[in-house]
Amino acid sequence: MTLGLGEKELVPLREELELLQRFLAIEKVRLCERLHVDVHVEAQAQTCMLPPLLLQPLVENAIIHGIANLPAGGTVRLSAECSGGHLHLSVENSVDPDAPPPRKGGRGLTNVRQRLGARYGKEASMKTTAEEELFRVNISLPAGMADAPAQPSESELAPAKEVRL
Amino acid sequence: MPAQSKIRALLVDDEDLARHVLRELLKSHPEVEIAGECANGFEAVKAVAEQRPNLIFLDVQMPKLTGFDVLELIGTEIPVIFVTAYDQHAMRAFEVHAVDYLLKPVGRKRFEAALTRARERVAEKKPMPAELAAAARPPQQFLERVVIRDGTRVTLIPVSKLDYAEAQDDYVALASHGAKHLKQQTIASLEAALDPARFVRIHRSYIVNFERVARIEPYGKDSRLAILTDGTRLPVSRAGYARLKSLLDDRV
Repeated sequence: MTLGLGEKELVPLREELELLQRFLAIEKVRLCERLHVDVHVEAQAQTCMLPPLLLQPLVENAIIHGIANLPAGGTVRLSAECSGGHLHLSVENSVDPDAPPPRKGGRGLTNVRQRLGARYGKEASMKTTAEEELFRVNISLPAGMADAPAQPSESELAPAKEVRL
Repeated sequence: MPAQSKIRALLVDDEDLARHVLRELLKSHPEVEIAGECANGFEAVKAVAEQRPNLIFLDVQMPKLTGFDVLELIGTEIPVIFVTAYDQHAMRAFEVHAVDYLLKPVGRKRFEAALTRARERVAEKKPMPAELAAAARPPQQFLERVVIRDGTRVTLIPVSKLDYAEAQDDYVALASHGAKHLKQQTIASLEAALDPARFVRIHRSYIVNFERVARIEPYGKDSRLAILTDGTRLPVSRAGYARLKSLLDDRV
């Protein structure tokens, strides 16, 4: 599945989320009860298209720079919604307020920003917010829909749900 | 086996799976008793005081307090086997005279070798000089936070929140947000560890966070006072004033 992704230009959010769940399952083995994950995805957003592996580095950052530094752990919140012709994504994580500022030269955020810029130009935006105990990345990109050959079944279009790993 | 060579080991790793591996490897060693397990450095400092282990399996990368921070707080009397996924800490490990340095995933053969060395070290009962712990910091890197132990409680002060430090015999009193924390360290070694672009030795007994200095006032014939943003008044020696001035000149 991963190898096949490189050939695809865009994937539906649903697929990106499936991949993320697998990644999170591995991190869950490492961090056990220290890692909480909240996923809140609007039903309509599930079929929105986005570049493959766009969210993965953001979630990985949230864990490495956020949750892994907290002795008692914390929560990674992922949310997606569709409005005004745009797909709005946000990845949010708890951070240690006393941690030294992250070292420069990290590639994750830069890569995501460049990929968005290259594909969508000014149509897409990315914003990071660093608060005392919280770090958040907001992404907005044009909400192209999947060329659904058939109507997605009811089960695939499940209403917004919260998944707690 | 003589009673004194019985090993009481403490397992310190933030990942349960990693501790599980060590437990499994130790199963074939009845002479090693597991004194406790800790999921972070805070628990480790507490367990060392309470369980009195004579061997520690210590992870390096842990939340907030690293394995090296733990060593700085507990001293280096207890033999330590580092267990880490990264090889870049090996030099520091040797500087603090670690018994061994195991890379994850830990294999049976390598583990046995480390345990043999640890057994010899435990039998020797040779305490390590305390100053070795201070060498645990990599060179050319300034302190980002100070770790302080008060009994079994550990406090971390990011240097940005350190207002000033005052020498008190063999201790330094670290002032942060109106509270003072005592740490057994000389003011000279603290000064050497802090970024000279942010901290100035203004007096034989004082280091100040440059950001906190509101103004300097003359005081007496030859000396001055530094008034901090919170109103604290600290003496400034002649040499200290010169250092303050040159830092100011660098900044302008």
